[in-house]
Amino acid sequence: MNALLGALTFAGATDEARAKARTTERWRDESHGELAVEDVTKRYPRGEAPAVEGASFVAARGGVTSLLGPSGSGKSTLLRIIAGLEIPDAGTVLLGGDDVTDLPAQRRGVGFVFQSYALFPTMSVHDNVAFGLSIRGVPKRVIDERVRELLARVQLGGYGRRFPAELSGGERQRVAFARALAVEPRVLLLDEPFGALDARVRVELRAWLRTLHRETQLTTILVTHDQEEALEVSDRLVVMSRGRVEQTGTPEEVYARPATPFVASFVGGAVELAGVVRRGQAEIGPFRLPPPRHVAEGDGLRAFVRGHDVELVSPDESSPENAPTGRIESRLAIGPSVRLTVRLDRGPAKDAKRDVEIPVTVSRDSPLASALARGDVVRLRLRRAALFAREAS
Amino acid sequence: MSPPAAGVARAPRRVLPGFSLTLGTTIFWLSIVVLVPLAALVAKSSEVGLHGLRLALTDPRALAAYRLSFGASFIAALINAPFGAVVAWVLVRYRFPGKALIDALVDLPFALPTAVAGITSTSIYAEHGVLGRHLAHWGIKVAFAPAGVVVAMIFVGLPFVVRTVEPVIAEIDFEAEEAAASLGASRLTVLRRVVFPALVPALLTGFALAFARGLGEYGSVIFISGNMPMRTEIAPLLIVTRLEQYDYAGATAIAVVMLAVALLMLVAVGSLQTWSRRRLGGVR
Repeated sequence: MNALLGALTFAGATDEARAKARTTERWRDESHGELAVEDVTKRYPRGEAPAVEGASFVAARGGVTSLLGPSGSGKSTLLRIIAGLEIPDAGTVLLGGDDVTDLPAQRRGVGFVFQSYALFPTMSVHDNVAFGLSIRGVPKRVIDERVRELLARVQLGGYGRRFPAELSGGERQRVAFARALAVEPRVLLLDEPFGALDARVRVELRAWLRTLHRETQLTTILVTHDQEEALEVSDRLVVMSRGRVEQTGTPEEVYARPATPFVASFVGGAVELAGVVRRGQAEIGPFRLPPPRHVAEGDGLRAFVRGHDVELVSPDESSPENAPTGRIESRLAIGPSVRLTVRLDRGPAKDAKRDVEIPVTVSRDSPLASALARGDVVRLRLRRAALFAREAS
Repeated sequence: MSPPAAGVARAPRRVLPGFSLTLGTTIFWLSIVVLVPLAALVAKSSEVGLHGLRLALTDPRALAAYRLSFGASFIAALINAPFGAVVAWVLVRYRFPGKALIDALVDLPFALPTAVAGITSTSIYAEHGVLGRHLAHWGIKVAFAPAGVVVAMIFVGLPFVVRTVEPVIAEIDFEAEEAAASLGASRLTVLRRVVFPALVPALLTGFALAFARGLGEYGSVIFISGNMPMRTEIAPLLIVTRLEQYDYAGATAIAVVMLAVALLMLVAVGSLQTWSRRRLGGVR
């Protein structure tokens, strides 16, 4: 495992990284962890591989923690285990320091928001939001007041008498939020809450969720496969793959220093290239980078390169070093940036059997980007890459 | 065909045609299958005249028959609604060995000649029958009593409730139940406040169908009821009795009364159902 802990070559940012690590440590000590999951495993009767295997993480009080992973990574199952909607085969769920593993969902005091909204179709918006209070026998006057407050908070004041079928997807999901908040839960659990909405509403609701969280300061767990959403909304990420927790950390940590090859490839849209340690340097195609720790001469490497890790070298630069040339295969202008795919020219090296294609993302405003077209030859420099020793097979 | 003149609205055209054809077929089919025989019935009863109709409405034997027919059908439908809903629930929600068999059993009353069902029930519920023996201990008499009529009607009505409620249960959002549980609702509260209201329209439909089926049932009832005038004689049987006595007018008058009452009740249930469906805010 240690060999896998690749070091990222991070030019001139080591002090910054160390300072960040220190704050993270302090943050860990002070947060007493409103919610903790310890070594949870869940296996479905018909599935061969466990849905969740030995998963552990701590969610800070008042923070937003995202469970991020592709579909089938076990993140939703883990969330349902926290809510008490699934029973784990092994492991412990702690809420506010109490072991709630055997507590039924009804008594956990968590608010759950589903991707499908899961509103009660036979009840008005008011009755949906009032549900949790009315089954507790709260007086009607108090309920009405509280429902009005909550509907105002989710920007649906005056919607009380409508029915879920009359609302748009975004409105329904806000009703679901109000309904979950009504019972004043200790933890808010969100299972892909914006997954069924169209892109624009999703972005709006994301901003709205941040505001809501600032106002309520409720410990929140967000399950999502959308890394943009996770990076934008959360204080802390738990990256999952195939039922296991791959890495936990702040969004910046996870983005800048992926702990495993999976995280490196999943977060930030990296391309994987093969490399090797030679003459004390990491050779990735024609590029040279400082090698990661714990590798020996001749070891194979897996290099994960993001478009932003590569820069175009200006043709004016004299005697460019470590900057091979390539031909632009495709050019895609996506909003503010231009995404190029560059096929590197084969070097003299004997092992360059395959063509290497590399993504380059440049700002649309940069003078180089606007002049470039398909077929042009450019000179590239690799600023950094996430490097991992290839596991001996 | 000439093109439509300017300013004249063109008849709306549909991308998926077929409305006129299907509506035409519907009206034609309903006419020859339902409407024409019913119209003939009403025409025939007009021969009876007001006097005959009044007789049909006041004759104590006919009144007793109406009461039994409508009462027993109502009670049978009332019993079928909850139990049919439970059967439908089990068939939709759970997987278990023998499920296919139970599923087939539910449809059996559709296929079995009702006379067979009547004879079988009679032998079971008779004083020395498998069940009747034990019930007799408690002083309960089913065969050759009004209770027997109800039993026969429950048998024929059950599949109507099960098959009407089943698809609605299948459509209930499982996550809505989970949401209710995480809000603190006990299982019973979830069933009462989340599941049951969603089932009401389908339950009403199932109830109405089972009720109508019970009202029209003849074959199985005449074996189990004993057919004692004033006590266990159902209206359809009285009609047959009158026919056998060549009292066509009397038979038709009773038929018209049954027709009118049944139609009224079905319309009432139908509008109740529309109302409850509208209350759901046009869901599904």
